[in-house]
Amino acid sequence: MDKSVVIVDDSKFQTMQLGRFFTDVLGYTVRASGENGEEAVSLYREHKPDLITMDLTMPKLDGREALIRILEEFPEARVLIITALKGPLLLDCLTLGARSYIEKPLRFDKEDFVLDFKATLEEILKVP
Amino acid sequence: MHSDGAGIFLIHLDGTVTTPAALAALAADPSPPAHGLVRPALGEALGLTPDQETGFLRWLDLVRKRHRDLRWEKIVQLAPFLDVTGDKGREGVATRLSYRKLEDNEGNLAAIAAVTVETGSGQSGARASDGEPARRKLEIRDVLALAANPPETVGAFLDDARMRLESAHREWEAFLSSEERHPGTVEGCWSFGNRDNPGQHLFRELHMVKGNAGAFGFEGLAEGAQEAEDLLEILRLPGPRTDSVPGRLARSLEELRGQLEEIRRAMKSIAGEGQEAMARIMRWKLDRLVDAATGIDASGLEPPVRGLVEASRRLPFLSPAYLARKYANLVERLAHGLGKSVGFRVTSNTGDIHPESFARVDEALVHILRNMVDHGIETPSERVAAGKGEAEIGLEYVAQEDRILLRLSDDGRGMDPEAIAGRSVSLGLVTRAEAEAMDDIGKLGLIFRERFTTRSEAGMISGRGLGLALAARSVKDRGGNLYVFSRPGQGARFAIELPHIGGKDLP
Repeated sequence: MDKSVVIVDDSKFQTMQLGRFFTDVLGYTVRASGENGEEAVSLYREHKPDLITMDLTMPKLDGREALIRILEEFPEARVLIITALKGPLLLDCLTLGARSYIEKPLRFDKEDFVLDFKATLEEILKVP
Repeated sequence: MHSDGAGIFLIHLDGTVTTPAALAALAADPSPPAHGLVRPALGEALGLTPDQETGFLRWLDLVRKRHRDLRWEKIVQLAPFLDVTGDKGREGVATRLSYRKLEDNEGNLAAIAAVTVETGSGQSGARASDGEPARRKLEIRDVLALAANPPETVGAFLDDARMRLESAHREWEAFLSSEERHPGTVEGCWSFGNRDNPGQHLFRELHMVKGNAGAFGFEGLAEGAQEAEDLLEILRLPGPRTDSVPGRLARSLEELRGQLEEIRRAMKSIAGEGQEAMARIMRWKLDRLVDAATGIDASGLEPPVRGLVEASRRLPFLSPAYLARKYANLVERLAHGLGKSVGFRVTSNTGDIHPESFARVDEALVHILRNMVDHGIETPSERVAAGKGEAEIGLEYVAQEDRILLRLSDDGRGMDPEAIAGRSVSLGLVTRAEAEAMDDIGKLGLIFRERFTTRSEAGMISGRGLGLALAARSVKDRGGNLYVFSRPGQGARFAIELPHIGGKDLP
């Protein structure tokens, strides 16, 4: 069965790009997309997707806080951080239990980027 | 980092370090007393500031917790590359560390080997030395990005980026003129340190510009924003500093704005000179208008307004002749390949129709037309011998109250019902008794049977076989019927009958 994903990013352009990549290239079903941390939490609760991707800097509730709330409720949640911030915040999120991260900008036109993206998903999804 | 600290450091998971000097000592004398050397803590060994040390320890924490399930390259990318650009007053010189995992005999992570790498030049140096070809490449990238994205969304992005860069610029200017610039320290020292969340707004704007520029493929802009972000990140480290970073950040912001204007200009010239871009914009607008009109319930509206709504809905509708040009091309190409000359004529009893009207019958049309050109139409010499002029295939689109009729006709050699019946009997598709009980229409209909094939022996019906079975099935799958009529020597006519779908085919 197709894998499902929820995409949360406050940039619609990026949500669109990610959605297209997940659907067309990876064959995922995009269940929903949101624009802030609060939506990340509620959309995860609603859809319980195989994967949720989120940005770190988002309005209302930032990615770290959303991650904590999702993992509190669903410890098995697979959260993939997609961010351009490689600083302490990201380290913190990965230590807290985000499964992995993808670095922005999204370069779906670059082979290396796409290969890394795929390898990262493979790595995340092989763990139940 | 100490400039004299080059070499290999062993970083232990407890945050202590074996220095290159200690490693050299161990190599020279691996006896027990040498192992007893006290290992200095990270900060001391690498010459880190307390903040840098904290950052490094956080990363070590991640290494300890995640080195089994997170790829090492992913972890390494998060490692604190100690970019000391400018700290020693040498602009464009960067020192960084490269990390290797060291495992014990049981495959457990034992330590990390950190090798200092003097890159020799920082980002700005590298960009400058790439020179002209690199700049051209970026320009080409920009044009490609402009071509690859709908002008409307590119326009929205450019507006958004301009707004953000201006806002970033304003914040930077405000910072320059504020007291925070040198909080109680000597002139020329810089720090965002007094703020609760230093430079956050500026960072966020750059960050959005970078992300969106990357998404659209404006590589130069994305790289420029990345550079500004990096510089800002250095500035955001606590503690006053006297280095070249602020000047570079100011330049970087200025360059970004320049780059954005370049792209805007390129977009304008493309849209102005090329009808293509204009046509695309019009198509987008048209789509929106049609969508809006389709969403309106026109029944209760005043007649003039209703007329407007209905006309708007029908904007994308096109004449059957225009929509059938694909089939005209197909016929011409097939005929040319066979050394035949075939005219193609489209007629209709209706005005413009929905652009997708032919989509449902596409498969059937292609198979039937292929068959007509290939086998129905005679060779030019055969036609001359038969006293016929140039061959012609006709396509007639007939919209009726309850259905759509598509009639295809050729003036070729036609088909002989008796020959088809005989062939079907010999192929075992029907018994002789069944065939004899059929009228001419029934016999001709045998050509739609799946295993009906003629190969070469029956000239009159040659080759009308599998393709027609596919055509018949495709029409049936869509709830329609396919008929055939023919007489030897007098051409063939096919008719596809289809129910309407949701009024789409209606004029």
